[in-house]
Amino acid sequence: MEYSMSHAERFTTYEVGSLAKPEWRVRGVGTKPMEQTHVKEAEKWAGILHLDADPLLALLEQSLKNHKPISADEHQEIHLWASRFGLRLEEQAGLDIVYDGEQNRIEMYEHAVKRSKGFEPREKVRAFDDKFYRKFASVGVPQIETLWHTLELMTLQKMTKKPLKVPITGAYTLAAWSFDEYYNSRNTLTHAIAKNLLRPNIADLIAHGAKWIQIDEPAATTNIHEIPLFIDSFNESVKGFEKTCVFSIHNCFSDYAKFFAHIDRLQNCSQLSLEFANRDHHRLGTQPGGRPAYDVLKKLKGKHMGIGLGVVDIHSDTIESPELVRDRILYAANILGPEYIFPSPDCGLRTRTWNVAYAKLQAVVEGSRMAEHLLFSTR
Amino acid sequence: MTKVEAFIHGIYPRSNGKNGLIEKTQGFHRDRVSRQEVEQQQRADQQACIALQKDQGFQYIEDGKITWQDLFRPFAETTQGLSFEGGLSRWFDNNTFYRKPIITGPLIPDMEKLKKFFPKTTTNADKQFYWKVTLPSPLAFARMTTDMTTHDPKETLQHVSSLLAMTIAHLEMRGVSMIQFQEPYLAYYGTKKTDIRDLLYALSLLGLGKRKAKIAIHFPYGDGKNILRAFEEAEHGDLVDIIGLDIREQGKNTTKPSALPGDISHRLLLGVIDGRNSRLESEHELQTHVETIIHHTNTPYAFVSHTTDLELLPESIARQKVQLLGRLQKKWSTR
Repeated sequence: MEYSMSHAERFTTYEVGSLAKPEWRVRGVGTKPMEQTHVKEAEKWAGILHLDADPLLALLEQSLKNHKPISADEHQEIHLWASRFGLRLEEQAGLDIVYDGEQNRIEMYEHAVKRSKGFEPREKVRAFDDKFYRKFASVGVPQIETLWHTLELMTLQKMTKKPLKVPITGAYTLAAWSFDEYYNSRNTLTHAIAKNLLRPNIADLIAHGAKWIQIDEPAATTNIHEIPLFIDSFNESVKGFEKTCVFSIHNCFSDYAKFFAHIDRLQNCSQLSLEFANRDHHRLGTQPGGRPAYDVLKKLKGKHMGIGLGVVDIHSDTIESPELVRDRILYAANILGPEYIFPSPDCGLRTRTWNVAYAKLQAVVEGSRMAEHLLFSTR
Repeated sequence: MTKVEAFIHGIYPRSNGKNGLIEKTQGFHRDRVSRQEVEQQQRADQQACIALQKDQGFQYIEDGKITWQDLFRPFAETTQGLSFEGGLSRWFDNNTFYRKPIITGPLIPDMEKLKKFFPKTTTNADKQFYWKVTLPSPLAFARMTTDMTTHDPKETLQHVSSLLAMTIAHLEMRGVSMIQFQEPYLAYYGTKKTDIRDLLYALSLLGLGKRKAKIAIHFPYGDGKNILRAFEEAEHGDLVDIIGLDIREQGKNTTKPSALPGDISHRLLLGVIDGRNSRLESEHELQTHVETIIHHTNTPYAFVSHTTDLELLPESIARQKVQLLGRLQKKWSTR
């Protein structure tokens, strides 16, 4: 399939990143036994997703019955099942390009640095309120210890026939979220990560069949003076791979105008996956100026850049109607042209329950079909 | 000869480790730890922070703001007419977030509730220690707040300044010796002349001229060369005794000592220790750097400290940095 542009007369849809880890998955690799609710949850979703999950349910039932946690030998089984469920949820929602909702990754920053030499853990720092995260320090030249996502990709390739988009944390974000005890230079650390960590990981993913890699850069626009550095690190990360793989960047909850001012420097980036739904109202309508949250896209006219268009809000349990999604798509299509629009959620849906995440993804798909009907069936 | 002392400011990080406050707080949210245990640990963290400063020989002692979720939250939680957003806003260019305050009506603080966020760090018996408090600067407070009652930024400045003025009066009544305003907005957004003007205006509303407490104002997140000059020259510049700058020796976007005016009248708060990076600075290099600044500015008095609040670091590293400040102060006192 064509990755860089939507098919003529059909919008290509995808998820951006994470899905919540179901409780049976968390408990399944933990130190406590299953509870009835966990088993029921797995059963319920196996039914919804038409998954023959009897082996999983047997494993969970056994833990419940014996009041014992699932043994370490069987953790791999739990991981595989979590991936199957995550993938199937996205497939069944109707998404065109899928992944497993990062079911077996810890967290986008820690997953990468834990598998890399040149980083040491420091203690937790606060993100906000009573939420904390473990920050690592750069203490030496970054080098691969274990490849980050190749095994995961190979596993998922066996589980689905749909195209896969692999998310990977970008060099700039990894540098920005780390203490720097070695280089004492954000610039040098970022480039070292791009060269020594991103490039080998990307090369290996491509060698194992990756066709689309999404580089996650939530930190990209936090310091406007460093946007050129972020762009340079992206360019360095993907250079030379463009003939064999499509690359996109995911960023969200940022000032896109400041980002777009540097867009011409980006090389080999087919698409920007961005959040908009969080800033948009819920009224229907596609009149020019009626959805100011999406107006910043006007700055990309003529740039031939695909947009992963955030059309559902990941911070709210309110399920957007397909009509609302339709109008958001049409509004953006009117600015850039439908061939540049790829409807998706704003960001990963990790903070939503599967009920909500599934319904939102279905709305993305249904809204896309409605938009196509209006745009193309009248031609 | 310039006198050099050290102190800390702002929010100090919570303790880590198995029995630390972070672990207990996370346990509380997972129904494994009681609220009483969390509060007990908060008090322990606070006492540890106070003891750390006293052990280093600091004169001005802060409580560490262990219960503050961000620089504005205590006010948002205890003031009628003020609340905070459900969503999160990024705290400048950090990977940390705050909840934006929202003004919905006249600001009337409940001092009995607000006072719990300002525990006194000294007793009447303490002759060598003085109580110090960090407050949000009126400019940062106004600019980072959504005011539903007006579209006029000057009115918002007046609203928050009035709230801060009441807080200052209350703190002084209780015996505070130094009040430091934390002003992260000004330098971060380019030290615009209009912002400096508004800041000076807001400071003039706080009744500072009547205060016994020493007044400091600190400007992290940017180059402060124009700020010091403005305060030296401005009409209300002398409302503030101590000006604080990000003046690290290395790093981007800091103040270069050579760019500062010489023969200044203000005392200086020198943010020479990086509050955002775990790398421990060299004691020798710090001392040389401080000497350079003092020599250039000829300030009568300098306080050495960290740039941003220490909460951006893990507690064990923050503690090491405070101990480094202590060694620096000791070296100067024996010259």
